[in-house]
Amino acid sequence: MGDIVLVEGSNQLNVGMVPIPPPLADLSGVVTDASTGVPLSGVLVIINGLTTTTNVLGEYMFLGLSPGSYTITFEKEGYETIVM
Amino acid sequence: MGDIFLVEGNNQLNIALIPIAAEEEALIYESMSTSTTGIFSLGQTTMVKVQVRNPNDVAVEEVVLISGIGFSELTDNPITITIGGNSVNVARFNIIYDAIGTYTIYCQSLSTTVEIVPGWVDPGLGGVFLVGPGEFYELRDPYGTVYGTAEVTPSSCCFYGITFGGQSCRNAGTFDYDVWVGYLRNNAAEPDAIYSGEYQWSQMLGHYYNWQASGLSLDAFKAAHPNWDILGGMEMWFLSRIPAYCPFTYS
Repeated sequence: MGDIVLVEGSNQLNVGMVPIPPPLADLSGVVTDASTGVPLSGVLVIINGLTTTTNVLGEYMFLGLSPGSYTITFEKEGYETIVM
Repeated sequence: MGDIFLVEGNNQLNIALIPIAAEEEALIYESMSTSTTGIFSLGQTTMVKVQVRNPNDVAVEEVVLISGIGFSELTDNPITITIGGNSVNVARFNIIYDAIGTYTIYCQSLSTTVEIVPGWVDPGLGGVFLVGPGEFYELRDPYGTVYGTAEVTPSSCCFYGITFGGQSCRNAGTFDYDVWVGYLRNNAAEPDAIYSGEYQWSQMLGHYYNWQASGLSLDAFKAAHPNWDILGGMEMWFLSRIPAYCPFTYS
């Protein structure tokens, strides 16, 4: 047996659909000096055109990205640029 | 497609950046000089200084090498010096010249030229010649500089005396000359030979004052050499030592 019963004549059923939020991905990390291990601030981080810079703790974060493949770049003067 | 794949939720990516080594600037060889310039005497020791600048922040060791001919090194060559960051240091080479001529000493892109002359040189008076009382001779160095006029004067104690413009270089300290004397002799063995051996008094006559003080007289010389025909006169070589800076003045 179903949950609704149709009677003779016209039956009206209006439905409110609840959207399912799309899956989201966040990306965060810490950038350090490879030779000293010291966190690096001011590192430019680029991911698919979005940019941010690391804070004094070397931290960066991107929120609300779609899961999937990305190219990410880390740049800072005096250091080798990393593209991955 | 990129090289990283983000999945739903939190993704963590920590990165270590590799520092690029600071590019070292080349050391700058700024100057090369000698402790005295220009003309050196054969056998004279002098110092060659090479100044090197380090434009980098970090101290470095540099091997400084000089090259050239006409001299021999008294100390190590090359010399290793330590140059502090953004500092200057000097490598010092003590060298002695052992050949006559004009030579160039090199160090990197620098060079310095020196002219090496014998310790004693004939100032151009013609070597051995006869002088007599009242005669005047210029005393010159090989480059034509006249340092004084030698006047041959009779001397009560000696054969002849010499004065230079009435002034003495004895105390100048930087000028020296040598007087060699000899006598014309005439004997069977060596007729008309110029004798300048036994009486090359250069060593004891380093200054003419000493020569005068030596008191050697013509009579004494004749007595010592009775078989010689002393023609008279005196032969002199004026040999000036370089550098010569005798403060002669003329009146």
